[in-house]
Amino acid sequence: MIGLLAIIIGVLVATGTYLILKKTAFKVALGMVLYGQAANVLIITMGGVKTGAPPILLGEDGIVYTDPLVQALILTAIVIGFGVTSFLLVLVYRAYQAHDSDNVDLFEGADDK
Amino acid sequence: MTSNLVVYPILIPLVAAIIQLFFAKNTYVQRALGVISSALVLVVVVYLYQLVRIEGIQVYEMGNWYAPFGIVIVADLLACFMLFLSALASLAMSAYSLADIDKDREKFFHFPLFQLLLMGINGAFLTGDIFNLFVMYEVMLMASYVLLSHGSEARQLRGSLHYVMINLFGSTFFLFGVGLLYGITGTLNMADIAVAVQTADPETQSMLTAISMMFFVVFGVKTALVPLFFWMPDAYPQPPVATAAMFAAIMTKVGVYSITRTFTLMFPGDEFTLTVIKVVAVSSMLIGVLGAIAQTNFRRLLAFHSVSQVGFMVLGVGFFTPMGLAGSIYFVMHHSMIKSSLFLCSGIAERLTGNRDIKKMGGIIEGHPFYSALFLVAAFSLAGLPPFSGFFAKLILLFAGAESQEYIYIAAILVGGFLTLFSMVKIWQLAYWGKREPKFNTVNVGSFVWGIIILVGMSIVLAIMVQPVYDMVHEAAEQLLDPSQYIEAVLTKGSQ
Repeated sequence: MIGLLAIIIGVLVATGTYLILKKTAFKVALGMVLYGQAANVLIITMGGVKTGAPPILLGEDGIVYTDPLVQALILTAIVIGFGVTSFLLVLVYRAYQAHDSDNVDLFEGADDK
Repeated sequence: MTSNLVVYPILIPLVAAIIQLFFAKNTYVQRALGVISSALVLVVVVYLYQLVRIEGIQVYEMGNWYAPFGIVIVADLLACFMLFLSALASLAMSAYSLADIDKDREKFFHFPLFQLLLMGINGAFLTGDIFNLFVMYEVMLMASYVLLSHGSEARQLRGSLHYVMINLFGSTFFLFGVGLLYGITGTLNMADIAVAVQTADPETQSMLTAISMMFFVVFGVKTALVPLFFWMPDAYPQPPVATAAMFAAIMTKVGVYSITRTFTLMFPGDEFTLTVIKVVAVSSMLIGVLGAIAQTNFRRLLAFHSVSQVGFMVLGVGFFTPMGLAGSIYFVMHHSMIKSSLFLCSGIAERLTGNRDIKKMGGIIEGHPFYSALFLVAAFSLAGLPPFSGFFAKLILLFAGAESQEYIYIAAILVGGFLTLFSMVKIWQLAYWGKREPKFNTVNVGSFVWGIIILVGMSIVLAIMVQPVYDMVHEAAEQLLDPSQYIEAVLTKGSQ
């Protein structure tokens, strides 16, 4: 299970990196989204993946329990990521409207020294 | 020691922002509230500093969940200094933006956003929990994204798009780092992480070093260290000057603060990390200033200088001696006052000449001698000429370098300082001296200079009171180099 998750993280980061290196603002934004997902999967993996264990410690010795903290962490990270991504998408769209292009090289001010 | 006072620097701007939102139509109330909130934070911070000096590090346990289970808000001496700077800068910037911000931006919540930015910054200085640091960074960044793209002029959009993307990338990296660190140490409380790192076995030590470098990259993005600085010269020239000045004064310092905290508390004194930090610092110092020399756009030039000056501060952390850290803190104080006043000066020059290129300015001193003198003081101070604060800041760093016999870094400091002087003189000659351009706009400079007077005045105080201030920052540096104080204050259960 951990191995599968590691592969998923790797694929997400690789795809994200590919998209971030593009010159189209919208694709870069999508790359950022993939990066965010990879980070979330990584955090939940770091908490240790267990099947069928409750997220609370019942006070008995030796009982397996799922770490609830990582879930709280990614919940926060997802909410923040969602907000920032929506802002980023609006910004990309606004830039597209202003320049009639999605290519960052054609934006006004790109040739500033 | 527990004290509720520690939370106020976060709460006051939040409450101010909420009240400001109730007066969405009434910008006068918003302006007044902005100034009042900054002044209140300033008062609280001075009182808090006294408290920390007398009673030791102050800790507030959120919701009464004691560390390492709950989130703690911690104020030590360094945090107090940084809070003082953020309050001072926001006060000066509020004073400046009274005249600077245009009607449209005012109507669309410039002032509440500014308070939220302040809340995020103060939160980042105070938090004792690494994930909470991430959250506070996001609060701060979210406000800064909006402030930077506020008004969305076509040119502004490119810079802010660049800024949002690089910071989003940095935040994701931050999450990776936090996740890995949690996987190894099993805790998010910074003091508890410090304990876990101290007792880690040698095998995980290399993994921890790798994670610490991830954090260095993250904070390097926010601070604009070489090679992660390219967003900064694009982002700073576009927004209103008060916003750019606030970013230059405090936002980059949040990164410096986080680097200081990370490498004194959580990952202290690793030989390899310190070398990396010093090399990166020196290359920022030199590459930044060389970039600045090539610029003629006033604000781009200043932005490149920020890259260079941040190098000095981080170099102080890299020395990892009481004197080096004291120099770093003193430099942070000096720079946040001087760089923001230079940005404010550039704003007035832009208004007067209607131009951003210093080649097309000229003769500002004619008719505006007082304002030009303020610029000259700030410029010489940035360049490190005696008797201004920049001189003492560099002097402390030079002594620290000599103390640890790092002569190459001393040479770099001197070269960096000299080149800074060169580019400051360039601005002075092209924009302030020379023949007066005939097409000057009439600007009521008097309504703008108040913010600059506060900042330059404070930097002069910093220079005159150099010995007492040095003793204060030295005390803070010693506290940083003895992490057991911080750890003990945080982890003593129910420390009330």
